[in-house]
Amino acid sequence: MSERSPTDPRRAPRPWRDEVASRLAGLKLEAAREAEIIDELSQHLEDRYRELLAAGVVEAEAWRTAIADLSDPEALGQGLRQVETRVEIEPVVPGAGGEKENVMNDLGQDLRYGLRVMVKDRAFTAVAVLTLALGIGANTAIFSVLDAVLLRPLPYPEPQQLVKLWSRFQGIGLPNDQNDLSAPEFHDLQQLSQSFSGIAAISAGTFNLGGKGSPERLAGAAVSPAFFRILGAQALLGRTFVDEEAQPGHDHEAILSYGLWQRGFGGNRTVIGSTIQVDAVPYTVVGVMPAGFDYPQDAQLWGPLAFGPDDLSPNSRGNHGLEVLARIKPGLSFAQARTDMDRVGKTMIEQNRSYPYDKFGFAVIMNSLLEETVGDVKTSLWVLMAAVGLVLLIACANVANLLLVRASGREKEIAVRVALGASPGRLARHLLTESTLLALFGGTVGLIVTPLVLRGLVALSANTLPRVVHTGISGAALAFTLAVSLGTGILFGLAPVLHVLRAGSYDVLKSGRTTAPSASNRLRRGLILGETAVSLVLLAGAGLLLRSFMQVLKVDPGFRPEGVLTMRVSLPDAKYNRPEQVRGFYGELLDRIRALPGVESAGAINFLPLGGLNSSGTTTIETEAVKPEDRTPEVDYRAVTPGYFKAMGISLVRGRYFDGRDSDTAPRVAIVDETLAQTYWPGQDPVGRRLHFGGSMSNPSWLTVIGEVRHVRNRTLEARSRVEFYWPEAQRPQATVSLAVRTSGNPMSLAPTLEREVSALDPELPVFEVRSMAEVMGESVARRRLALILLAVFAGLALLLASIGIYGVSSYSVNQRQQEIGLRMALGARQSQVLRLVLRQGMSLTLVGLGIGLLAALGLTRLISSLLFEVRPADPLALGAAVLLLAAVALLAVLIPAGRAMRVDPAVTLRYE
Amino acid sequence: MPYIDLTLFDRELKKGSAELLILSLVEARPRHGYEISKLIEQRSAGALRFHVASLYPLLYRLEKRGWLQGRWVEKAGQRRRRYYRLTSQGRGVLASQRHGWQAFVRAVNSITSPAETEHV
Repeated sequence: MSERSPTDPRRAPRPWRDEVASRLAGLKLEAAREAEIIDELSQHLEDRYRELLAAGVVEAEAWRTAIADLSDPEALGQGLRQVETRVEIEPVVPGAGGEKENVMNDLGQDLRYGLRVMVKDRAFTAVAVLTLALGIGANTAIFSVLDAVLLRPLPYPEPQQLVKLWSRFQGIGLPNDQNDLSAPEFHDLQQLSQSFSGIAAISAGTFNLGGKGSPERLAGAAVSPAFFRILGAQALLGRTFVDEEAQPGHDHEAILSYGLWQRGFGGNRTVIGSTIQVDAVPYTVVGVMPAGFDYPQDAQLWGPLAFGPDDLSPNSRGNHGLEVLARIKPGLSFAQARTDMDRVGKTMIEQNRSYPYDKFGFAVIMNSLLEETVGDVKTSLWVLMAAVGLVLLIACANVANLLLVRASGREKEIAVRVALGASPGRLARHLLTESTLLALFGGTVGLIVTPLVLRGLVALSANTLPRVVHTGISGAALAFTLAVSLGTGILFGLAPVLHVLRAGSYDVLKSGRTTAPSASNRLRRGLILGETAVSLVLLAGAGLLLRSFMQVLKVDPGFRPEGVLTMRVSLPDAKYNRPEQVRGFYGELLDRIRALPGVESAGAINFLPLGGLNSSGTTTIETEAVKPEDRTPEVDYRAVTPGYFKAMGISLVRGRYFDGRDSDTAPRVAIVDETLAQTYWPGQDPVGRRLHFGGSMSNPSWLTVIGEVRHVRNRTLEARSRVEFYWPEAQRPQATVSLAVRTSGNPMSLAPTLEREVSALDPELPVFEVRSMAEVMGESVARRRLALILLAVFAGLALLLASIGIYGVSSYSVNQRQQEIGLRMALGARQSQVLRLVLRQGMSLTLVGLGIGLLAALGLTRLISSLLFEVRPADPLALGAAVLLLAAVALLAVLIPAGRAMRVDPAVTLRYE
Repeated sequence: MPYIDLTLFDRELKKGSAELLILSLVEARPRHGYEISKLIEQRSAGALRFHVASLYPLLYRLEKRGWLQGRWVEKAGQRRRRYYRLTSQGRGVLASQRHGWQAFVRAVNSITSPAETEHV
């Protein structure tokens, strides 16, 4: 209250103002109006006082006379009451109570006033709340995913003690040299490790459950009895496995998932002790797990994993197919357990000198279970979280701009508050309360939208997320939204506060003039610069992911997926226990399929390329071209039937495909891929050469190469696979195969016919994973596509918001300069010159923003380099396209107001002068 | 000095004569409140005086009716003052009020002047 300068030439001195103010107090006038009346009346009194002094009246007498003019204290109030409208707003003069009480009172006042302002200015409120809801809602959605997948601890007791173990075979294991373990290796780990309270092997797979007439294919796993104990899981009904069940012959017990129990057995408690058919073998149900227990993911059925003498024999040491889970003993650190594993690895090398551990740099790899579960989506999720955070920043900048425009409109009101003695801090609190209120509304609307966004996200992500994401809003997400809303409110609320509080402008307000528009415009331009730069970073990121995705799609997988239908069929051992039964079944099935109209060719393979299942092993190659120790590489191999290569469109380089000649009784043959041929028989014809399964010391029969085919990207589109060979399925039958059928039309339309053919041969056989080969390929890049779609959506959102921001600022500046433009045109400026003037102003801002954004993008895109494929983070195409797109949109956003400026009628605008 | 009782004059205001005074004073050019009150005092030789508490509510009422338009004006070296300008609507009102007042004064004069009583 004391800042007012007594020498302020523009204001009547203080005492008059107080006298007048005291007489207005009871009127509850609108603040601005009250200030005007005080100004005018006190000026009158001052004039009178000075005149009296000039006439020689002594000061005291002059004062009394002037005050007498105000008449008795009631008269002014009565007179004004009939003229002036009262408003409900309470004056914002700080109260006289204690500091704390005062703050609370102020807050209440501010909230009421803020709400009133929001209701009064509905259009502004709607735009601001919607913008914020978009930003906050998107943030809450992505945070919900991040929280569910990365942040929430795994649903097991003491989850930090859970680890997964792998064997390391340099150059063989994928990814990161990681390989599954074999039964003998698992046995070694059990014997040698000292740091685990439990260790379990898991062999995940799918099983036929049934049931005549209603065969069902289920995901499940054979697990060591310790498995449930390690995970701290109790059965809901019955029990989990006991150690004796890890013995062959005692392993015909099964545990059901809650879902399977409900769906398949009607939730009937008598299921315990009953018998079910798993792969045509009777199993006794001993337990039901509680809802939510699904390790491995989607497992619905668990059986005991028993190792017989064959499984544990030295011959099986290379048979890597087990997932191994362990729990670190309480009190031991992760690092201590890892040291223990290093020791175990060395011991295993020493104890098994006949196995080529040394050659492949063998070691035991230990990773935390959480890292294992979410490791490969971690980067994507954090990148998306950052992206969506940037979108919110842009939304904040836009709302801050809106608030600045409004603040200029409200300068009078703020001036009155200052006039009435509101301190800078008090004003700041008031403005921040308003903006926070807006943000909270935005957050609330965002929360309404979030479940919808989440539902879309979950649908879009299908099975690409390693953990289940619920579409509800968790407590953590709620807290996050609240925090973000409050933070957002403060962030964008700061703009008008800065605007008002910048030393100069506060003084200007006090003086009653309006602020110089240039100061506020600088802030607005700064915000636009930031928005443009941030949008460019997002667009560049999306561009890079798009380029990567296109590069991945351009990769030649080595086969032609168009028109190919695939489905998986599995023959239960119990029913098809002789090789000729399996051979006979598939031979007849494929014959029937080839005879169907619309089928061009058909074949089968044990593991489809890019289907996620692979097999590989040490293979001895008969060659002189490489050093002896390099003649036993790890090779990807697969079993195929005649017709497979043709159906998949895998072209022959040399020799011939498999056919009827390559029967069980014929000489053992193989087809190699071009990489194997080039690596081991460079410059030579591979046909007639030989190779065999296993290392050089093992002694299986040689396979003679009869053909060479193109290399197929079996494991991932993004990298070449190892060298490959195929053997004829007839010479080593496979119970479970994928059919590959090339059709002349839409492959999926043939699916029902094919399923009918399968059940015509055996009605108890379920057909599963019915997909076109294009879908199989699509699923192998689903995660990449998801990240791309989301980042593209966020970049689009950023572009939209930034263009709205640029449009707003240009439009506002054109409005502000209408008189200037009118004057220029009156003085003879041509329309084109006006257009250039506005464009130059608008686009120079954008160009500087683009420059800053480009620098930032060059720095930041490096962070996503692990998500890129054959595209450099500084890819000129992606960055250039981002710059051009943003510049084009900005140009459009500036052109619209520029067009308006061109049509300014000088006569009209100048009339206002 | 003859002096009209304030409360009496307040009643007169309500009859509209005060409105007429103010509208007349701003007819030639815009004036601020203090100037208006000074002119009323001077031109009536001190017989009529407006208190602040009466003058300003009246000014505001006239402004509200659209007869006057107030505007803050700053002049170099002076404090800012609010000037009141007669609007075109106000001009119309002034004309009719002036006409009415003159008719009223004539009527009152015709009754109160002793010379003319004899005629009736």
